[in-house]
Amino acid sequence: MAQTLNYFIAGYAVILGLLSAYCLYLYLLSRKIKKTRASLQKEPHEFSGKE
Amino acid sequence: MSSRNKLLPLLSVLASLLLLFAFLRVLFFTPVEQTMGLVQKVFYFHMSAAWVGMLAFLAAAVFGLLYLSRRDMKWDTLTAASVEVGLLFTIICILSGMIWARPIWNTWWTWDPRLTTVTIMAFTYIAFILLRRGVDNPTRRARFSAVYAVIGFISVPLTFFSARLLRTIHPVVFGSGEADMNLNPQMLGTLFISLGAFTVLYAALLLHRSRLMAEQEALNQQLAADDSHYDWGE
Repeated sequence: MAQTLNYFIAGYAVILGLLSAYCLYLYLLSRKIKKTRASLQKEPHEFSGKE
Repeated sequence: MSSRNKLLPLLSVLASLLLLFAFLRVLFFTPVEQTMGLVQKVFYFHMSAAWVGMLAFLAAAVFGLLYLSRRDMKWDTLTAASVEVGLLFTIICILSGMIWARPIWNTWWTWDPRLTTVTIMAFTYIAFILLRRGVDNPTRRARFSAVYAVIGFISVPLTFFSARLLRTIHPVVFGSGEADMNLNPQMLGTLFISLGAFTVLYAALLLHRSRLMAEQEALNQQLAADDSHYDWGE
């Protein structure tokens, strides 16, 4: 039997790593949206770019 | 709380549990293939990622058609979200396949028909995401995305049938008429559990991503109404 343990570990590291990275990206995006929405509700002119 | 908001946490928990169950089954309850050794176990998630990638592009084409017939922006959001999630799974499939190929084919990459067509498919949808970002008008962007998702879907059957119709070194698991991969019942069980886990994960990620896209769009419109545009830094 071929000794392929390292490739097995690398394969699952890539699969689970990419899935985790995408979930983290969605979580951070969700936080950013919540923050922006909260800021807009508090100070509607802060993001308007107008004095 | 709407029914969709209730469904999302449930679906996320179910996807996580199924994925964990599938992974544990791969690790501890699936026999090691005698010739290839442990690396063959990458197959279960590799094929599941390939299946979900193609399913996502099919769903994107269907959502695109629904947008074109109903002109409802929710279908546009689902089209874009499905393409993004499908691309994630396709990239996972390509990278895990390369790692599996290295010890078995003695190369990371070869321009085999299946590998070539899956690369074309991935680039087709990378172009979708890049081009979509270049269109500012939401209605034009939605129309463009819908048409692109429908036409781009041609790359999916091309990839699916490439290993069946052309001479290739890539094995065909189902429907080849030959015993390309002799999977025993335990291996088949793990494969079907992985396919199920990835399908539920796709549904959860699709709903999460489409909800975030809709929220982003609503905020952008609110900011545009203030004669400004917020850069999301994506």
